[in-house]
Amino acid sequence: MMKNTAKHHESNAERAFKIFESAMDGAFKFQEKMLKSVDVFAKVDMSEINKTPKDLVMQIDKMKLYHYKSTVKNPNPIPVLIVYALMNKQYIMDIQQDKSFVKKLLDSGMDLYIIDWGRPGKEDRYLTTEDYILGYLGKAIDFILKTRNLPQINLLGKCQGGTFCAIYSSMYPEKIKNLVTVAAPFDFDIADGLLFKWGKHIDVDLLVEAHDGLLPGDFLSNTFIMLSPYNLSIGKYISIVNNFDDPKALGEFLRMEKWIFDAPDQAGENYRTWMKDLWQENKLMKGKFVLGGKKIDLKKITMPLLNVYGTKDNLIPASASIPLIDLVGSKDKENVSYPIGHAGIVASTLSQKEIAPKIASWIKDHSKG
Amino acid sequence: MSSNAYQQFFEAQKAMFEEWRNYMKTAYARDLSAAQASAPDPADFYKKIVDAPQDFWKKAEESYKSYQAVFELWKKLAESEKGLDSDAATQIYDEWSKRHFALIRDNLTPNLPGQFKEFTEKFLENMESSSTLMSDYFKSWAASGESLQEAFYGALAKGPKGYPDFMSAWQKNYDETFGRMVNAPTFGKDMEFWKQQKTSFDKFIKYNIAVNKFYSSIMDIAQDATKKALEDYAEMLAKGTQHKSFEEFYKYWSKLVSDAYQKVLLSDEMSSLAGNMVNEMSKFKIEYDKLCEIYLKYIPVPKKSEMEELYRTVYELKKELRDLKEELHK
Repeated sequence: MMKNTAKHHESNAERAFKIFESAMDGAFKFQEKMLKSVDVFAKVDMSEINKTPKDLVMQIDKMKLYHYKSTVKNPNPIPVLIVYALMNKQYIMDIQQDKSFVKKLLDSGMDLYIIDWGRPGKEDRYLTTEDYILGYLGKAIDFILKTRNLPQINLLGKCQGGTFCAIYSSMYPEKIKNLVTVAAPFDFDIADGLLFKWGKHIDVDLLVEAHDGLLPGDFLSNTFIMLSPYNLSIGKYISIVNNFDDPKALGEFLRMEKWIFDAPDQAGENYRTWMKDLWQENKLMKGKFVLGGKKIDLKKITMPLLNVYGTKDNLIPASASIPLIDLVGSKDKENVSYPIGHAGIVASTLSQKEIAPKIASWIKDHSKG
Repeated sequence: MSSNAYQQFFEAQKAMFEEWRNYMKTAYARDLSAAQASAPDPADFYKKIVDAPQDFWKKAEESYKSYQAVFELWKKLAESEKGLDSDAATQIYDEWSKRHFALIRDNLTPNLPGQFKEFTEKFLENMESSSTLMSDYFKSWAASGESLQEAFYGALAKGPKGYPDFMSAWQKNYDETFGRMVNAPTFGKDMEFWKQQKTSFDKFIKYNIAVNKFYSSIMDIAQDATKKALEDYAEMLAKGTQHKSFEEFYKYWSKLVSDAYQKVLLSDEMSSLAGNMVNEMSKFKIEYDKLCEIYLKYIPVPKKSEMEELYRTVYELKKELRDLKEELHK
């Protein structure tokens, strides 16, 4: 350790007094914030979550298909089906009105449907990846095509939902007009993703058996926290205390906090396939993934593709999303990146200003003819 | 409940503080920690008034302890008049380090799945001071093996950094001694029960070893980063470029810690430790659940193995029904 050579004009007692004085000032400011926050806290409007008006149009088991009410007179003639991941709830895309990805797309002229996968219970432990993709997703697509009397729809998949949409699109390209994938993983053998590295060391069969075939959502939430343990378990709570008297900041924080810890349990059989075939053996990339008895060949994706990803995404790093573009057979394809993280890509100021408008205009342009 | 009443209460306190401050300017400064310890905690005050939406408040309160620990660290640094020599730095670091383990334990353990929290918390209480753990539980056993003895004294000297080595040596010793007894065949009319009880115990020991290896490695990360912060601070102090406020220091320290976590967690070693912890957790739970089923044998409740059969039947029937419906609508 180096010795201090700087001159000191203050005595130790003076310095200690200054520190004490400033700490007491801080403590009083803090107390003032806490007092103000009594009202602020009580008035936080959690009903902002999932608020954009929609109708339930179909349900199979716990899977629900909703149709959003259009906000424009003549929406795009080809509807878009939004497919979210199973690990968190889809309402992150409608977290609050001024950051609602869904609302922005509606206001930009999109005709939107969304899948809510529900919350699996023990009785759902045997649901397979085939049930999710060909059963629930496939039947939701068929329902929209039939009720709207259309030959094709647009698919927009976020995270795992994007992987599901790509698999489905490769099996039934004739039903899909355009495919948009957002922060979705395709290459699972990457060096810069913590979950991707840790996933390789986990005995998935043991994990599923240990949890009676239903992987707790808590387990996944905890894993996500480990991506940045100090910030996500300590640092962010210190930061928000500084905003206790700010209704806007506190409301945004609490809504996001609710979403982060609202992780549904995972049906064990699907989780087994997802982790073993994709995360551990990277079968989709290698062209060895089999679903419903058919080998999945992403080259059979021939419709226009927009692949959107965040360069600050530490959950699904860009390196996991980028390779899709080279795996598909589409001639019209585009990779678009933004300096944003995994949730922010659909719930942030940037997503309002740039990402949602880009997707909406791309879909409009590609829905003609 | 009107916030005006609080506001008035607050203004009154503030006025009192101003008076007190004027008085104190001529008096000796007192120790901040003592003042903080005797002052009412605003968090307690707040908790009495309102329930936070979700279980948010506890997290904020726990996090504030971390913030306070870093503040104490900075306070000592800022007060050091003659610079930081190695004895002073070691003392400051040791004091922070003692508080840090409790913070890691209190903030990360609650995120474990419910059934594991209690097991882990109890074991971690023992690990709070690795030297105490070793002295209280394993010291006498250390004499039974040369390598264990070596690892024991190594861990005492190295602190948390030496703990994983000690746990590996301990596990080896366990496997060769108690482990063999635990895994020996059972006999008699209750042999199934005894066998399951011993197997669960064995998996419990292995799970705890895995948890301890992982947690002690995590502790190392923040401790190494804090040592680095102290060294950097000593250099800044020498140049007169040290942080002017606690906020600046906290920002600097938390970035250093976060970056260090990011780097270490991505390493092959940590990935393997994390994977091993999850796998051992799974093995323990499977065996523990089996033991519970034996305990429940004569109690009239449906058991896991029976329910699994039922779930499969329901799943298959639902699927069949959907397919039949589809056929009918064709």
